[in-house]
Amino acid sequence: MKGSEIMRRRVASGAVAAPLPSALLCLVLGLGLACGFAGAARAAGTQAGYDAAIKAAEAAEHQAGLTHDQWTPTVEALKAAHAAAAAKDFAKATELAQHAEALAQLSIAQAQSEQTAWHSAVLR
Amino acid sequence: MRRVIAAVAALAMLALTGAAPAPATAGKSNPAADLKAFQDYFKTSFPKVPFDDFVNGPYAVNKGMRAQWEQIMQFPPYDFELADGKKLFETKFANGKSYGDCFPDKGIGIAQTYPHFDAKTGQVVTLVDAINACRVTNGEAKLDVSKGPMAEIAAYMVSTSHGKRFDVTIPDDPRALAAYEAGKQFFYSRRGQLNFSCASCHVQSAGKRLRGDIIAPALGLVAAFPIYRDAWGNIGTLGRRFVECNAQVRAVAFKPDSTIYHDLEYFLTYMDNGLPVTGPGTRP
Amino acid sequence: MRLTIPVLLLAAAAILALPEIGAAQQKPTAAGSAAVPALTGSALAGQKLAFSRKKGNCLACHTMRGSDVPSNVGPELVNLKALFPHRKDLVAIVTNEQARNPQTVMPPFGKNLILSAKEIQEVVDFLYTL
Repeated sequence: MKGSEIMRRRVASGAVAAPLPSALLCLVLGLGLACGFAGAARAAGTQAGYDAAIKAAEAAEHQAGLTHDQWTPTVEALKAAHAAAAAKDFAKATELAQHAEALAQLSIAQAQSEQTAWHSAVLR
Repeated sequence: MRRVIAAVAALAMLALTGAAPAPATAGKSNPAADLKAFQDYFKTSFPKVPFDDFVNGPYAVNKGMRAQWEQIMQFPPYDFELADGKKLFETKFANGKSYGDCFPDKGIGIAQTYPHFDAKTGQVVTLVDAINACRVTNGEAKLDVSKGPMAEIAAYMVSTSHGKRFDVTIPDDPRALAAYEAGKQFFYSRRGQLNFSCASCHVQSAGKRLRGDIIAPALGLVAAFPIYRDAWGNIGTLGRRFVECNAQVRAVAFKPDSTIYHDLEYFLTYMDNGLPVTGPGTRP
Repeated sequence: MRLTIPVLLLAAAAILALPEIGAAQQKPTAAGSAAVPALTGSALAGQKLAFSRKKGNCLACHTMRGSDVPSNVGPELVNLKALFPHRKDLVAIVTNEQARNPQTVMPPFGKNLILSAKEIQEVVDFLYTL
């Protein structure tokens, strides 16, 4: 049995799958109205733009949790995003949420690449 | 928006390349071969360090640190906590029993066999687990597994194994091998925003200077636990140090008694087989 | 939007030479020189990043002029202008050294968003004063 499979089974109860980031979804789905709307809302720093951004960020962080590789800066960025939103600074809150999503996606990518890359570091 | 799309697309590509098939290096688990390769690596890397001295971590590989340490050890900073641990160990529970009743040889001189694999439950049992299990069996509440009385009791039990050598066994049971392999994978996997594995520091950078500290080699890394760490100002368990290490690489840590840390402790302690038990120890 | 820019470095680091900020480039220092140039502007900002635990923390692993702790996880940082005449090479190392050396222990400061693109330029400006 491969070590990577073993650890995946031992540390994760859910599937390890890369979620499509929201922006990439927009790309994949083509030039939908939704994307245009999300872009405009983000630029303006609205509650709706923030809501979309934080939802995407939290979904990505949840996925990172399933790979058992969450990063503390992601947690900090999510916390800061919530605080900015509570203070009604939606431009800042949106930016922080997007940063958190980017970090969460990086942590997922790291976990996935390490599923095989770790073998090359083993002393043998 | 276009920037975001481009960036995310690049990330997605990275994720895809990361999912490439495994190289054909992952064969059948062979802990004994791993142990030999692991110990040989450090013996070769530090030819002047006597094998038994690896238990002294940074002090084994750096003269300056060793001199400081030898001074410190004239009055070991964990002495009071070790004495408290002995007292706690010998104090009877409300039901009249004591810790000694839970262990072979009354709990004296047995620490070198932990962690061990419990075939009944299929779990890796650390000394800390066994201490808490003993409490529960005797109607007492569990102790915090990071510091305080738990670290003190463990320190005392470990101290009664001085002179004995680590003798961790991995039975030919798929569950035990799975635990060992999971610990091994964790040790070598990069994690956190800083992208370090345990091995990045304790294998690749062993003995090097990091902001004035000396990085301890992975061989002997767990042999002196529990440790009194200057940065803590008191004594703590290996689980406590795992949590701290993970946070230092900017990864969200697991619980100090999580399954994955148990597996890691199983792997690391097995790698120390043959080294003398020296805990409690002291580190910067 | 600003926060997304460093992510771009992921794809672009190897091919992209960002515009020079260049304040520090006017004063290369001879290797081993005891003279400490007074840093200003971008190079000064870069030094602060390089010395800060939270950000670059370069001196945790590298010995360099101005640091008070000897570190040798990575090579000593000295004479970098001669070692890396092409700025983009140094930017690439700070951004993601793993692209060049998969086994490196150097954190990918750009790729993992530890530093922003602007911060990396500042750090590089500082490195070129060493």
